[in-house]
Amino acid sequence: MSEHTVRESINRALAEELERDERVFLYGEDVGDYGGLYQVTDGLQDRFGEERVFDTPLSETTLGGTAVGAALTGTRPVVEIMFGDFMAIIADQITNFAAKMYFNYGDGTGVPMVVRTTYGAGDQFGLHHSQSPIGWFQNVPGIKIVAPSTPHDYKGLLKASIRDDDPVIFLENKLRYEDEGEVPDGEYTVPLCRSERKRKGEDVTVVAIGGMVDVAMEAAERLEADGVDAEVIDPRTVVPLDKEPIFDSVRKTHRLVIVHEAATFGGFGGEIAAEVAEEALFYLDAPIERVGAPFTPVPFAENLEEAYLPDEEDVIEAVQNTLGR
Amino acid sequence: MQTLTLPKGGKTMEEGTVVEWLLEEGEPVSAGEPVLYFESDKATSEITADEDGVLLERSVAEGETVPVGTELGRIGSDDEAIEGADTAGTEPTDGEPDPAGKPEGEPDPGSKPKPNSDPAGAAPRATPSARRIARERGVSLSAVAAETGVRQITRDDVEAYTPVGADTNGDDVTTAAEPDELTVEPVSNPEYGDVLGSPWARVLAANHGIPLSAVADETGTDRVRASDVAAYVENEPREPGPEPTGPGPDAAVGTEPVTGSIDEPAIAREGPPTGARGVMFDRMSTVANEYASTTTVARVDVTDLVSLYDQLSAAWGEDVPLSLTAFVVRAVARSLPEHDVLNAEVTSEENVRVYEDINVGIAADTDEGLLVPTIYDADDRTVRALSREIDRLASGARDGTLDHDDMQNGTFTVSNAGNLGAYINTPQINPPQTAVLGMCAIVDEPGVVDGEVVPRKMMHLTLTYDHRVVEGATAVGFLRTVKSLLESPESLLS
Repeated sequence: MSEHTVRESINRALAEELERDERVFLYGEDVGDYGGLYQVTDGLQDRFGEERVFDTPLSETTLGGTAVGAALTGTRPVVEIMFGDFMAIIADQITNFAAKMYFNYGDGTGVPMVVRTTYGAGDQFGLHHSQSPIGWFQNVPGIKIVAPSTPHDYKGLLKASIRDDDPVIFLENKLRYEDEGEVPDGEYTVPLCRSERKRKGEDVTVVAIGGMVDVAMEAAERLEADGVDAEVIDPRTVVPLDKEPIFDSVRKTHRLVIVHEAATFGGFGGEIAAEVAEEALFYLDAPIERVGAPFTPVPFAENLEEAYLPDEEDVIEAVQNTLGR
Repeated sequence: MQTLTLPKGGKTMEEGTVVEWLLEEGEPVSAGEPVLYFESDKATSEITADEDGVLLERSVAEGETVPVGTELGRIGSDDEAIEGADTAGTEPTDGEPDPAGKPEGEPDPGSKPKPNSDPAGAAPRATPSARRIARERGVSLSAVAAETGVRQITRDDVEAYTPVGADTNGDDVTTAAEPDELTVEPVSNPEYGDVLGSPWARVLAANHGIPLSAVADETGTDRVRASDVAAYVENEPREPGPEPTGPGPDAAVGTEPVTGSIDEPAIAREGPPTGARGVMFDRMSTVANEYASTTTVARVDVTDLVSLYDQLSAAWGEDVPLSLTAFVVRAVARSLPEHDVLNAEVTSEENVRVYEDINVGIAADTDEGLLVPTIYDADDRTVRALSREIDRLASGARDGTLDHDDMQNGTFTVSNAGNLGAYINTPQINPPQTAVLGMCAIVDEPGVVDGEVVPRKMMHLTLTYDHRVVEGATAVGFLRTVKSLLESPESLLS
């Protein structure tokens, strides 16, 4: 085990997969020479050459179309979309092509492509560069959506995503690139579609997604001082969702709080709440609480952006609500 | 005067590099024009002038990397050149230059602004709605800019310039009146009055047989949660009710008042198993929980046996109620001494009791359930005597005329489900015995005799034994002995 940042973990995952499988290649806006807007792909072009790591024009439509085509020919493209906001531009290629080929042909045709993108607010990038696009794609069958939270998971899940035969949207939280954590030194992957209990607890279940896992964990630490024992579950793969661990946890704690960064209304938390209402309603001792952003674009002003983003206080308040305090 | 400082372009930005100065010192600049480009770890961004004036000083050279907040230079009027030099660094920056930069990599202005361009001549910036209103009203944006002194024109600026009274169509949604705050009244529930319970609280209350209203009265709440039910139960030990069983809701949902419409199957009868069925319940529970029951099967050619049975039946007539079971009991009684651990009882974990006497129990189906009367000293009885005893015990079992002794002291059991038609049947051990033999149906099947396929009568014998105390080899050896005796049936008559 060694300490690595999220940025290093992603870089290593890409390097290892480029090394392991010659079908893997990486492209996008500024990923080559510049090493990526956030320096995530730093050094990869030097190491693997311009044939396998290269820059493209500013055209997400082209990125999506070429990736689908390349994947259909048997390669494994990894595309970087600089900001999750621009997933709206590549959405047609993902939704109507990448996600549909398997079902359209019914002969095992797969589209093994990975679309890496950054998401989230907190860096004062304003309303066009700060969104969380999970909700735009959660209703599209045929793609997997991965939102890791730790350096360990970022690396293992990205490697698994590249090896997966389905199209994967791999979400990287802008504010977490510098986060450090233990990462195994040797080869490993983290399986897709498996949630993980990040913290064991008895009083309330907190399901947190992506960058909000850290927020939930910090809230749980503070709640512990108040004698509240919170369980934190990180789905890791958002779609398709590994539901049973959530049901099991709710059956134990009888309370559920869901935390994500996107707007609460229409967000993924609503899906989890609905699933639990269907499967475990009679185990609930309190209304389900959702913690997310208000239904408004991400504000630019620093103080407004801070108010917009869910934080530990919001999670703690929601937990206290479920406890009837 | 404007002090140019390196802005913080994002939370992770700590330093930046001056890429290019667009002006020489002393060169004039208009408000809104870019003065220099800098590069952070994210992208290249520009810093623009806030006011008209000249570039008084470049404090940082091109290519130099400095921390966020460093003064890069100053803009002011010509006469501020000296005064400004004295106060450099003490004057607060008014107005942050474009802090977010253009991280997406939007092309920076392709043509660099002309330093000498006339500010009044440049097209002012305006928001889309300001442009629309200006267009609708035939107002020149340049005129608005000139009038208001604003370079980034908003809708308000245009409206301020043309304060036409007609603009009251109120399409400004942000000023819509707030609706009165809703007052939430508790919903009255016919089952509980004004008391509401969480789903889990209802489940717990139902499992304890407690009305929610009682919990509400006791705990003084009309919003009952699981903790209230728990507190109520703790305070009312006189009426504990049944413990909640199992995980709760899934099992209890049928008895929940709120979901009482679920159709449960109609009950024909219920109650504890009694009499022989009670005995069966207890004994089979013992076997299931404690025994290592294992079954081995032999296929026996009973062609000759059936033939002999037919001959003797004709010869002995109705005087003797001859049965095939008698032949099997005879064979069993002969074979048991050699495999005596099958003629035994497990009396405790530490004790296996092997019997010398051979008392064979015969399973008999009756209206009251299965009875197993005993043939004492089966090894001392002939086929004829066994047949008579089996007949007596079977009819006694049916009529309920057996006495106490007839029903105990068995050391081994034979069960004939063959006459009920069972092709293969594995009866369960009658504890504390260690084995039971099952007889199955006799069926006509092709067999091989002296290399020829001929019609034969075949029967399965199944031996179920307690593998804790009986080895498999013993069980198979016993079955082989019984099989060879039954396949040479005359030997059973001696």
